[in-house]
Amino acid sequence: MPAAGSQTLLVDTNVIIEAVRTGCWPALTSHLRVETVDTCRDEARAGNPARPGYVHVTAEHLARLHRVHPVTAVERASLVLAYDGADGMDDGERDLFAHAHARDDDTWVLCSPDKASVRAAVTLGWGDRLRSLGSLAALAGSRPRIPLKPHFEEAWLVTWRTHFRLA
Amino acid sequence: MVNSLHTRIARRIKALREGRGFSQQELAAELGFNDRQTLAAIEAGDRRVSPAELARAAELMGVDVEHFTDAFRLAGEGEFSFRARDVEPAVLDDFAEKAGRWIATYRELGAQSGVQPSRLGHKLELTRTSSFEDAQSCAEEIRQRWRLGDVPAAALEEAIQRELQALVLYVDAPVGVSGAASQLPGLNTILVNRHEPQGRRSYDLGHELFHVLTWDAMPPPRVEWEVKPTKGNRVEMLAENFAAALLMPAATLQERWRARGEGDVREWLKTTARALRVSVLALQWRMHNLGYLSKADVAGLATDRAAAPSEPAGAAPVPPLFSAEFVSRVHAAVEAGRLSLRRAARLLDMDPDEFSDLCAAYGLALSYDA
Repeated sequence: MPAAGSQTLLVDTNVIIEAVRTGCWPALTSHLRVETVDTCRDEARAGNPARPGYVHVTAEHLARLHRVHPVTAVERASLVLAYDGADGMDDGERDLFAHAHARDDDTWVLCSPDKASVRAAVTLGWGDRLRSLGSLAALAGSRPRIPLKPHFEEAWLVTWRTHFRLA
Repeated sequence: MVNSLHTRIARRIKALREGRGFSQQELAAELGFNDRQTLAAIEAGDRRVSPAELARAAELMGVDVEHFTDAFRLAGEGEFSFRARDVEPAVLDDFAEKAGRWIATYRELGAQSGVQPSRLGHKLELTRTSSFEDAQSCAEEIRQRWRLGDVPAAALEEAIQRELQALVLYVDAPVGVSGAASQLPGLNTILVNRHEPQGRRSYDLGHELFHVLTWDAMPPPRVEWEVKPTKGNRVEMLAENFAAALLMPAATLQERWRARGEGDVREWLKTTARALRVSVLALQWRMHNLGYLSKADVAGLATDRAAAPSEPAGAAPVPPLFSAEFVSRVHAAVEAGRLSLRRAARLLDMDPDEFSDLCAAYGLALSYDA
């Protein structure tokens, strides 16, 4: 089930950049409660503008986030002690998962399109909470003017979620 | 994975506590434990630390939580010896941290794939009192045993990896750092600044190999300041003799010298240096030490600008970053979901696009990008 209504959508750096690149960010953030963590917000604005394919994420883009959460050392420690593979994730991905792990509500879903994130989510029992950017953009009524990269699509997520569930 | 998470945490808490000069009693009190035994049990791996305790320990000792948990850091493990010239200590510290991450990454990803570190040590029977001839004869023995052939520089990197299960990385080192060696239990590493001329890279490899093979008997200093070794620096002089004999075999030089006939010495030096992948200067001194050139000959050649360049013309291209084995291991971890793409890039001190380019340089395609 895609995120909707009262559900919170947690997004990582890759999702912010791809949603801005393909033009579905406004629709996504208008229709859903999109949240992230400090580290992902900061990473989304980093990068080398001189690189081909660089996506310029502006302060205005980030202002559309419903909330940006700080992550404490205790939350990070809690994730690492719960999931031995956490050090295989980058700072932003790890902090997003640490925040999700520490939440005391049950109304969130997560979009983090890297195999290491899918593996982590499945191991932590969150496989059903994963969403693809493709499915979320469709839910928000956005038809990206630029096609999403394949690993942001639902088919990619289904394939790798199944892979790690069977592993 | 090299150690289980809880073993790693226990070991690193103990090591950092000792490094910071805390007694078990003091740290236990700061952590709010009623007695020292609770901390002793954590350090012994008999009791698991809680998230709050881990965060508090990190705060007290001035590190982040990952210092205790991250398998992709050395966190105080291992020893380095850098070969450098005019480099600020802070620059070296920064480079050591990066290099430590590369080495820890290689080790951890190997362990995750079931690659066991080699505990079978190799060492040379040399000490500070050994003669230069002893060092040269060790080099000759290695050349023969490792089948390095007539151009040892061409086969040395692969032989080091094969025979010692050591890691050889070509890296972008800070200006002034030409190479480094590192020793960890079960994993020796040689770092070579890939932007050095080819002759220099060969020499660094031979020189650092000497340190790897004699580390216990003659532990090198953290920084070897790259100046011409003097009598006071016996270990460096042994290393130089070893590297020279390894890269420029006496028999090969004898044969080539004989074939020269009455040919021009300067031209012979350039051609031979290029063939052996060493610098002209290193070859001049080797020929002097073998008795083919007098000191006056060498001095005369040094004043000739045509013969003086340390690197012969037609230099080899800069090698690709790191090594095929290293990049393959990281690439496989990303494809298997053991390492995220962004994490892989950061560990290698690059951005995700640069990591994709690096994989492509070794013919490895990523199934997705950042």
